[in-house]
Amino acid sequence: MVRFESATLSRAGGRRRNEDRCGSVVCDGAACWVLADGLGGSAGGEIAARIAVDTVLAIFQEDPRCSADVLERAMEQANGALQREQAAEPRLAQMRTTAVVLVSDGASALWAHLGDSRLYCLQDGWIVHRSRDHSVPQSLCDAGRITTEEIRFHPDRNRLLRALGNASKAEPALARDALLVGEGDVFLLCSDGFWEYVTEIEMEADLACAPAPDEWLERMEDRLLRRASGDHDNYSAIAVFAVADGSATRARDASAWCARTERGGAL
Amino acid sequence: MRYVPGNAQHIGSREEQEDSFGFSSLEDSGFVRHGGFVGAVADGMGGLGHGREASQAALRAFLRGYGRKQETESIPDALERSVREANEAVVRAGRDGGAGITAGSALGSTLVAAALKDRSLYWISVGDSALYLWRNRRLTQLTCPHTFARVLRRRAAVGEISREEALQHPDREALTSYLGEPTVPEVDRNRRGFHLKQGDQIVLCTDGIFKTLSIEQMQAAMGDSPQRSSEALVERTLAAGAPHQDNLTVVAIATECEPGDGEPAGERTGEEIALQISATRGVRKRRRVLLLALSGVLLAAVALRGLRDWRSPAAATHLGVDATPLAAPHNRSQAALLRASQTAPHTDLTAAPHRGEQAAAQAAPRPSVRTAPVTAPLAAGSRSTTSDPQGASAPGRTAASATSRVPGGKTSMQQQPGVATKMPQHGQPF
Repeated sequence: MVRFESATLSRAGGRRRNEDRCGSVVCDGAACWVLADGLGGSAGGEIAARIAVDTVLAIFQEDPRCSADVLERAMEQANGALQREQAAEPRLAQMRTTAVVLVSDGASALWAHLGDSRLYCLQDGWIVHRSRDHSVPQSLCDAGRITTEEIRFHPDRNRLLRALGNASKAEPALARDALLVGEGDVFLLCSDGFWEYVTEIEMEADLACAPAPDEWLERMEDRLLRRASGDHDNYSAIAVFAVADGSATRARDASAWCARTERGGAL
Repeated sequence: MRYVPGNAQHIGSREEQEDSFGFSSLEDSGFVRHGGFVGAVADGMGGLGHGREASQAALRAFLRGYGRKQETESIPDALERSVREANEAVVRAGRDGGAGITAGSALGSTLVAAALKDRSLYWISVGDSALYLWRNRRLTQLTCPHTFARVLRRRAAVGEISREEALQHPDREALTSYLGEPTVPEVDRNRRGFHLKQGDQIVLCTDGIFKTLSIEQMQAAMGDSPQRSSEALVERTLAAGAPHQDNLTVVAIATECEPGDGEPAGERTGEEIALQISATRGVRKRRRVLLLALSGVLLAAVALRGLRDWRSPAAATHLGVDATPLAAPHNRSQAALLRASQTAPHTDLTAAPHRGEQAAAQAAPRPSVRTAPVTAPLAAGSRSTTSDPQGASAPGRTAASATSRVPGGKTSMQQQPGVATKMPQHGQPF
């Protein structure tokens, strides 16, 4: 059995408004984390992301289990809520959002996603799973036309094939099997504004140096800030560390010669 | 396992060479078996004076300290201890003076070191000298620079200052952590070994390289061997013709598997996606059984070796402080590049992320998936910080203001608390 430590990062980047949204909840021994990247004019993206996050968390709280049907229902309800809002407010008719959801009961974990916000799963410090984007570049990559590396800066990066609010029925991708969660397992949920500027090797290298989720995000964020310029996209990430139940959150260095080997900066 | 080093260095446009570099010895195979091979570079802070003495003191003490590593000490612990000793040496050199240094001077130096053992890489860094990984024709910076620019970027991200202010701040190059203070504010290091692959090179360099060359230019310079890479990086930097070009130093290392080394570490690329989770579950079970079986054998082997080798003299070190590059590896005696055979696939007793842990202690049976509700409440530290602007973390200590000398003998007072200055550099922003 594990418990979780998590940290969240969400900023507007070079944009005036932050249309990413993150949320999490712990309920009856199970936890749910959700991240959404909204799109659409007239502040629709912000509203869409908020509706998605709020709905997913509400559905989870009604039935806090680590199971595929909970995830499916959460996505379905979020999609329905979005469509109702689209119908009620014509100016929001084009609002959409991605969504990526992770749930766990401390023994196993499941996730689902729609769009190009990603979930990474790392074990022993290495990425063992990354969700496949529902986007044009990912399709090209799957077809062998471009490499994985080329997805990042592909000109059709923003063309999504699936999103919440897009169709009458949500079709999220679900993890095929529940993952047995162990101490040291790490999850990263992130929007494309984040993963666009941080490579997988960098995620792994920074994780090797970071004893806590907030420091991991901080290191990765600095890479993003060094690279991004102009009106770069909103960026968000949720880092979840599975730690042994009962253990201290960080291994503090006892040596006095070094003030900090970990940065404790707030995000 | 064969460790292939390379290096190149140049004084740039400066009057003194204030960079230092060095390697651990490969001659003591017993040491290499548990200590691996280490390369390090240090950049003395000219702004504080006596940069050359500072970087030499740091590097010598670091390599000497690492050379005293015993089998029972993990590589991360040995690196940390050696950096602590390097810091003490720099502090002492300034405090006690001698050899042209006035007693009571403040000396400072960066230090970045990489330890390679079989396929695992460990690093430790203080300051802004950098470690890169070269893989698939891309350079990835592994270290995190301790510069004020980092603090400024964070402040700009949370809206405290504008991005332009962050980019143009006069102290952005100043270091927020370096060797030479009684307490070093920050040390960058990995706690878990980083897997290397065939064809990887690791590259350590001082800022004279990357403040002149962009990452693309550095990538274009990389060659097939560490020596070629090192020389090309220096040549390319000099060819760029930057004004007041700083000292530049490159150390590069590659590992080569040899027959009889055992299985290389599994192919773990960031590009692998959609791995079957159920397959992963099976692999982890099998690996755990293997771990348990091997740990008993290895514990006995380590105990025996410990008894035999504990009196081994500290491995000698090679210290390079002048502009003469090492001879290319293929010119050196191949006998000097001894093989450190892998004693066990994937298991590295000295690489335990926590001090002295043995492999056997790590194995704990995983609960199988249950459908019964969880009885113990999940104490999830769900610490959600939102995008509300929050203060950037400022350097945790205040330092006395330092004088920096610019070419031409002028001095300027830098009064930024918490930072110490180096020479201003030409180069790309961020």
